[in-house]
Amino acid sequence: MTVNPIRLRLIGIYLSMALIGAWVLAPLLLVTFATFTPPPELYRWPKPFLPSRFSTETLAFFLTTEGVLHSTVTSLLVGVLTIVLAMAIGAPAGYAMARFSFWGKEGFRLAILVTRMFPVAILAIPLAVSFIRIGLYDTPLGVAIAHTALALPIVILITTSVFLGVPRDLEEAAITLGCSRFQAFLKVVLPLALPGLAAAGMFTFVLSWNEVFAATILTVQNRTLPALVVYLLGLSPLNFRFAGGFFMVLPALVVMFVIRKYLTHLWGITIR
Amino acid sequence: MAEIRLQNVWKLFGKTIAVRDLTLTINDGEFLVLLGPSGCGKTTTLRCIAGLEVPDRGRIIIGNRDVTDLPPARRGIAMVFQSYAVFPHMTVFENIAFGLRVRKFSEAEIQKRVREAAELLQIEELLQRYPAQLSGGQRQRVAVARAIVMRPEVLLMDEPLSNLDALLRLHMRAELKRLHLEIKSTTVYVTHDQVEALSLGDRIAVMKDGQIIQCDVPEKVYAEPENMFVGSFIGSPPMNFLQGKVTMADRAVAVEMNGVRLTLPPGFEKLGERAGSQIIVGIRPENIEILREARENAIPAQVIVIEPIGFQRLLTLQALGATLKATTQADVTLAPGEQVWLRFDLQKIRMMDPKTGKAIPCRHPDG
Ligand SMILES: Nc1ncnc2c1ncn2[C@@H]1O[C@H](COP(=O)(O)OP(=O)(O)O)[C@@H](O)[C@H]1O
Ligand SMILES: [Mg+2]
Repeated sequence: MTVNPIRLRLIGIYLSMALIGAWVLAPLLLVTFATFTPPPELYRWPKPFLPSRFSTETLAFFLTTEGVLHSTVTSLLVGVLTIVLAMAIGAPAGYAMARFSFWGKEGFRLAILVTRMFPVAILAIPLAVSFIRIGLYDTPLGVAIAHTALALPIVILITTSVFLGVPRDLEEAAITLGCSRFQAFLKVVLPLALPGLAAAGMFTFVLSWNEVFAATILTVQNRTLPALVVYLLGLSPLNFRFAGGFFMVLPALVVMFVIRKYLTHLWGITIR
Repeated sequence: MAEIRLQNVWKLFGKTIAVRDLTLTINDGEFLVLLGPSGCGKTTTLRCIAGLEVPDRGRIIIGNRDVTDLPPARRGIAMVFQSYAVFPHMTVFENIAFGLRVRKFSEAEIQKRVREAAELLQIEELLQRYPAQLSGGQRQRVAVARAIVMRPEVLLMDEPLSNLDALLRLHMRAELKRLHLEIKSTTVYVTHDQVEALSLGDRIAVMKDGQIIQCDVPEKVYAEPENMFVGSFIGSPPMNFLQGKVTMADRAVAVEMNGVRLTLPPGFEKLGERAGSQIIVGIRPENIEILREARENAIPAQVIVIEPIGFQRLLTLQALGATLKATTQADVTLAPGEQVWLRFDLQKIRMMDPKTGKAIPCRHPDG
């Protein structure tokens, strides 16, 4: 019996997909198991793969650690502020990219990506100096501004694709029925773009939730959660690290699951 | 109601000239069809009237008001899009009511008008549905209802039937004609389908390369095409065109085609001025009579293909070194390869200049 070469190739593709998947998923899985393992078991050697019983003690330990609650609130606040700022600037830019042809459009598209070339380190230190001067240092708003700068390129790309997905005809139909351009946007484009814009918002939130470097440099007292975890990492026991990791990854996972549809769409557009 | 006047309108997209110096008057209450091949500038012309495009040059006047610089909302127009552009997040009722709500009509008036429009388009049962739950034909009706509910002075339609299947298209065509008689808005209707144009239009404006080639009532556009393009674009199968040379013999004008001489009846005297020069004879397939034996002024031909098309037959013939199409009654028995003679209805032939492709006025207007 001969092996169908197409079948063979398919097997190869699936194998490599499984490998890549495992590479990403295995640590997540291990961290998740560890989070729900009773603390004594974590230090046993050899450590059992599956916990002997489901326990929330490790997670509880992390959540009750001094500063964690305050940092979580700060992180949430920074995330929400980042969404507001990034959407307020990014969505109109995306709309313009999707609907208008203007001088320097291609240059602008490139410039959006070029901003990603500056490492956060280069951005964060002068930013810290300026923030101290204008009183934004160590405030959620200050961190949110830095995160907005980081999130904007992606937000503009996503919202461009979202607005491209709303047929221009619908907007024009509204205009011929008596709407101004702005009314047509509010009554027709916005409702249809809302799911996509929400996805862009969630993406922004995850980016802010996970960002460490700028948050560490721009805060002292009001640390965001990742900044606090990184700060405490060296000093803390194993169970703190596992639970911290789990707690931080969770929102990202949930959000990614929700918005993956829009991300593939996004690449569909940019590749073309 | 309103008359529409386009005066020397130009519209360019970069280097593409979409509309070129277009001048056209559409009478109050008229149903005017813009007909032409894809890319000739029909949609752009319509969008200029709507105000969705601003002409680079020229003026647009609707009902004695220069609207060139006014936004669509202030032109008294309504438009039906080729894609229908029905709002997917609103029920059929809300779709139809949209324009009325924007214009702040009272709730009672909205209810009354939406029901009227829905009734006119026979979609009363669909009012609570969402567009995703409708068929293409139903969506199309919603798009039309949404436009006419505004009682616009000017109704613009961009290929509204092109996305429907053949049977539905035939049905909706008649519906649109009935609708026009009821609402009486001045209507500009864009299509690339000549049958649609002939059946709907009070007048047809035939467009090519951003210009209007001919604008006239359907009978005229069909019978007396202004040039070879119009003759070949309108009519299915299109007009036949034959090469020939004008000759004079015994003071009678004749055309010599591939060695065969066709003597023209009185009325073509003016063509005599062109004696000796090349000419193109245009004749529609239904104006060719098939004869079994040679007669005077009949042209020998050979049958190549016979296609039954319902009550008629479409013949492909070889004659005068060219291929011709002719239609006959279905009861005429013919076989491929058979020798026949063709008699042209000389009152219906159309002479064209081979260089410009334009029709040559060679007969008296009543001749
Ligand atoms: N928005 C646009 N940008 C660039 N070119 C356009 C645009 N709209 C139309 N054109 C060009 O103008 C010409 C006329 O187009 P259009 O009016 O859509 O033709 P039609 O409706 O008769 O098919 C075409 O060559 C088309 O490519
Ligand atoms: Mg078109």
